[in-house]
Amino acid sequence: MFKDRAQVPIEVRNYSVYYIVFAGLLFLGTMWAVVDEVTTRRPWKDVQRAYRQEAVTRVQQRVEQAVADFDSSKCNDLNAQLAAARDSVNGPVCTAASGEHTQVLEDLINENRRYQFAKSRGDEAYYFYKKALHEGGEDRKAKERLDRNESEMAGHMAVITRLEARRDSLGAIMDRYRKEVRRIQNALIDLRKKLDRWEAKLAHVQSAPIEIKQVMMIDYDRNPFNDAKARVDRCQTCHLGWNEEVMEDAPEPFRRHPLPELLAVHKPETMGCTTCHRGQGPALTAGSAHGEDDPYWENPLLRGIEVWASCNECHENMSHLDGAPLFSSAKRTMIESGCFGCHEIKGYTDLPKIGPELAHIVHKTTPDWVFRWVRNPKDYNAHTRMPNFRFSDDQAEAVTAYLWDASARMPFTLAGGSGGGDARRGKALFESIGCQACHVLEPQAKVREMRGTSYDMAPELTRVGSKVSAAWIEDWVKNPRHYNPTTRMPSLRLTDEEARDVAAFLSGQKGGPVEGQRALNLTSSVIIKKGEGLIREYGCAGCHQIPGFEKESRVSVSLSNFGRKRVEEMDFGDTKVPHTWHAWVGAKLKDSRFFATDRILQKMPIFAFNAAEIAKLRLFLLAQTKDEPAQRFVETFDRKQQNIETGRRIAYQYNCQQCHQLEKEGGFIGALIDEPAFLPPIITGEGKKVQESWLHDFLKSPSTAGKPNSVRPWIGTRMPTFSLTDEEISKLTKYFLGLGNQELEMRDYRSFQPDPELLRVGKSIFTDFQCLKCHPASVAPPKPGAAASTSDLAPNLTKARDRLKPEWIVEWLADPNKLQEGTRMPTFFPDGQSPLPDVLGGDARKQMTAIRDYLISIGEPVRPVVSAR
Amino acid sequence: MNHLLRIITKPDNVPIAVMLVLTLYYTWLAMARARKNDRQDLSEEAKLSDKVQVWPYLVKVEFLAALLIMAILTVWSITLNAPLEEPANPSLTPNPSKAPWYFLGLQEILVYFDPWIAGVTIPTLIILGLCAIPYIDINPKGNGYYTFKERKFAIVTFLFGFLVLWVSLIVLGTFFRGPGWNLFMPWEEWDTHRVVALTNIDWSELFGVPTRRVDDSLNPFAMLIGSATILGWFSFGGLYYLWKRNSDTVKKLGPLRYAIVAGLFLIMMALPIKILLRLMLNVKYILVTPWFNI
Repeated sequence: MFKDRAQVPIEVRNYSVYYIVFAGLLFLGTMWAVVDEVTTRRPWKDVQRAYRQEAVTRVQQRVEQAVADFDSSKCNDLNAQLAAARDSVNGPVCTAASGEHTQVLEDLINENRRYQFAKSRGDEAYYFYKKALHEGGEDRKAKERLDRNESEMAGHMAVITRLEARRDSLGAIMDRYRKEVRRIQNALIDLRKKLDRWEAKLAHVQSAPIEIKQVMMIDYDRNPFNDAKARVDRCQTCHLGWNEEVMEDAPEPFRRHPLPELLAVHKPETMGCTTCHRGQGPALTAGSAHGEDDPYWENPLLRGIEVWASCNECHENMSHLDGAPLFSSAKRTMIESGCFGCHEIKGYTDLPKIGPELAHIVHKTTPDWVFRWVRNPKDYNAHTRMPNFRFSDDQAEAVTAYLWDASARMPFTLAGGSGGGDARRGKALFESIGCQACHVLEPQAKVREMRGTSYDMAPELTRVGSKVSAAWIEDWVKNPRHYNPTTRMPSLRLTDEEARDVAAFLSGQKGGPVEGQRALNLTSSVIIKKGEGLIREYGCAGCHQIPGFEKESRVSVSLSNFGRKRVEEMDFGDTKVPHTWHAWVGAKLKDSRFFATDRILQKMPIFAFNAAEIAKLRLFLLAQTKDEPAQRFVETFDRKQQNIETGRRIAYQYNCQQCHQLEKEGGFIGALIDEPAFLPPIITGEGKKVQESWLHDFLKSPSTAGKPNSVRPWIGTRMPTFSLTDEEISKLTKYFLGLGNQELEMRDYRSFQPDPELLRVGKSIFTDFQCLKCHPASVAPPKPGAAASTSDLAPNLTKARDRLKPEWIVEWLADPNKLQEGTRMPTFFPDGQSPLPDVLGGDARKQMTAIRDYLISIGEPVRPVVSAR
Repeated sequence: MNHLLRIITKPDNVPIAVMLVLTLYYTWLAMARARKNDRQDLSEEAKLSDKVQVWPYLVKVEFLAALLIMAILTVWSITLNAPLEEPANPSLTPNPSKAPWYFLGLQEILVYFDPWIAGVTIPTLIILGLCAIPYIDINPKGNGYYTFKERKFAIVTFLFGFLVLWVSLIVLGTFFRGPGWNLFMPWEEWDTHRVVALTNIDWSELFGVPTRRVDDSLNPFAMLIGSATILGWFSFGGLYYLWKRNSDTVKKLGPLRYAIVAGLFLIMMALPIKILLRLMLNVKYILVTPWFNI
């Protein structure tokens, strides 16, 4: 065919068929492009239509509900009233007034004009009169005209004043009628409010345009060249119902956001969605937007609990965020597990080491025990935080030998050792003063169960007798800082006898694997040298202070950008784990030697995290990025926040939350105490509540049971003495003040003088309210049987003067539940109303002040009341 | 083979695969026509007696071609999406980092030569050589018709330079160079962690003469061997001149033009030889000097 065609001279060849075919193809291609552009590549349009359908159905239900709830009889009533009111507006009185009113307004306008004209003419005459005066003559005519006009003005003004008065009185008459109409109209609007709202909503939903909803933050991101880069979010194109009450339980993607209170702070209208959830903001299909269909997108959607990882971008400096319990808990897990001992973690480089000092270990336990412990700590205590290094027997022997050798050179003598305690008394003491808040002694493991962590914060004591001697225990419980100057173990202010009793009891707790399976060589210098090498190589000094290792640096990698570590940078060894960041981190946290191969040795020890802890640590690691949005989005880490975070870390370090609830966390000792009245107090609001000097003294030396300065002397659990330094106390004080939104200021609480008049009233209210029924208010310890039981007792009020902040007492009286949820203190002033209308004119605030003044006056010793001069 | 298929069908590699087919097809077409012409006295082109006007006869056909191309491009742009990857990040470049496809030949040469040779000298020589063609090509035949017989040297040299040294290196760079710029066979997966034995030696070391002495200074003997090898290579030009100095072609060229042609030709031929030496004998450099390495 083509050959034949080639024979035809070009001039006469016919190209029509080619033209028709090619043009047709181009036309079809163009049509396809249009369809592709309008429909195929815009699936969100269908989503929006589906949303409209869903939303309309739901809003219609609300409209129907509103119609059903509508009080039509009241509406009819109001309509009838409205008609009557309108009738009376049209009645003779109002009509006449209205007619006259119009007439008066007309007259006023005319009269005003006459006045203005007279004034203007007068001004002209005044000009000529003055001009003539300046020129030395006198223009009598002008003066005449001026006087005439001024008198005319006065006449007009009198008329105006009269007319205005008439106008106002007529207006008042008309207003009386019209006001009534307006009142009824407003009542009708109020009645229809709900219905109208839903009807308006319905109209709005029905007419909502099909369009891309976009949020743009001009300067949120920085590109790799550090220029401001806009972030574009179109998530709300499909997630249309994120802020719609009616879409509460709608199917995704239309469901309402589950945490509206978080969105009140992080407004999606201006901050978009990807700031927290990540994902590909500009994408308009689910797969690309969420990241599954786009392997190149570096920020796939954070799923499940991991969305909390993004808090770190703006709140990096905080270890605790009120609205983000999982974020706080993840950081806490990292801190408690001591990850920072080996890894550099931004913001956590100066935390104290989590393990005990090993300088005097030779005086504490036996080489056999250390050997077994080093080989596998979980053997002795399955809940220890010490991970398993999987040392071979030889390696464990070498480490033991070094520790033995090094600690034997350190000067130290045990103070105890007299022996002869009573184990029975020791047991009673152990169980009552609060030891079990931190230490587990099987079978009592309630605190551990309540914490839910795979590790304990303090060593389990079930087999402690086979680890340490009675003499060491005695020395230790008497004063833990003697053996270990940096320990967190507090002193419980035991007497010598009590210490002996506890030692006798604890040294009887024996058991565990058989000891001494291997004759240890602790003296060979080769083995000691080897042990030193192992300690250095495996980074034991990351957690422990070891003689000879005072200046070790961290042995492992920095985690500062770990959340952005690429899969190519991860070694999966010989495993079949899927090649993803998540799978690698999960497997590593589960078994840190998992990816080891015959050539690649791994030194990270094996932890025993449970699934929840692995998830949290992974969340934490995911948050370790260098991503930081523009400065204005980042939470300012000002002095106050710094104070809070610094003090919070002290609180973490000393485990305050083991007993106290603080920042909505902790209070684990509650597992042991059945009677809520005996629980250690919730101390989140302590900064607002107590005087700084009292807090200082209390932290320095907490009250001992039975001594007169105790607030609740009948409680057996003792607040321990942590031997805090003044610096630590100062940090804690600023922390509590920060939490209570208070500034640290110089105040002399003692100079407070109550008003003698109020004092008297306060005393009578105090009696009326029967405060003494629960609160002891005398120095003497409560007699047994005085109250129904000690569990009904409330804090001793004689302490209030030197302990509580005066303004706190008033606030507390106003609404105890607001300051401390679930308190048994009743509210005497519900809704700020006083139950005593006759006292002080029924002024609730004044009455509270009176009670406060009385409370301050009953402090011991009673202060002389100085009358106002 | 799945891997190769995946690489070929990547949207940014599709045009290269198409280009390969088209290049081979048009080369074959030209050669087929040349063969036909060479076998007969009168070329096919000469048989077409008349000439026609560009407008409208050529423009008409070109318009139709434009229509077809637009139709193809439209359908192409609908069916194959732009192959976007991560946002550019200067501190995290993709692996492999590939030049635009038309420069992959040069990037491939970088494997065998130092950057200033592969990236500066060779491209300069290519441009100069192409510019020089009208001045050194003194063969008036082959204008307006296909022929091979009458322009053997010119066509063979050009096809070697274009197909072997340019197109095939592009294909190699596109389809066979994976992460780390390592060579991957079509049946091999592109593994980022692939380990390649590093056993390159220098030319002189093939003969037992180390490039550097124990104190890390250059060994003059090695330099001697390298220089001798290069000089030897270029001396082929002189020897050929002496041998064929009485032939027509050499006479017509004259000594200057001959020197230019021979120089460019020998440089061009040295390129694949160096590539082969590397691939087969692991030769890294022929000549190592303190200033440059070849």
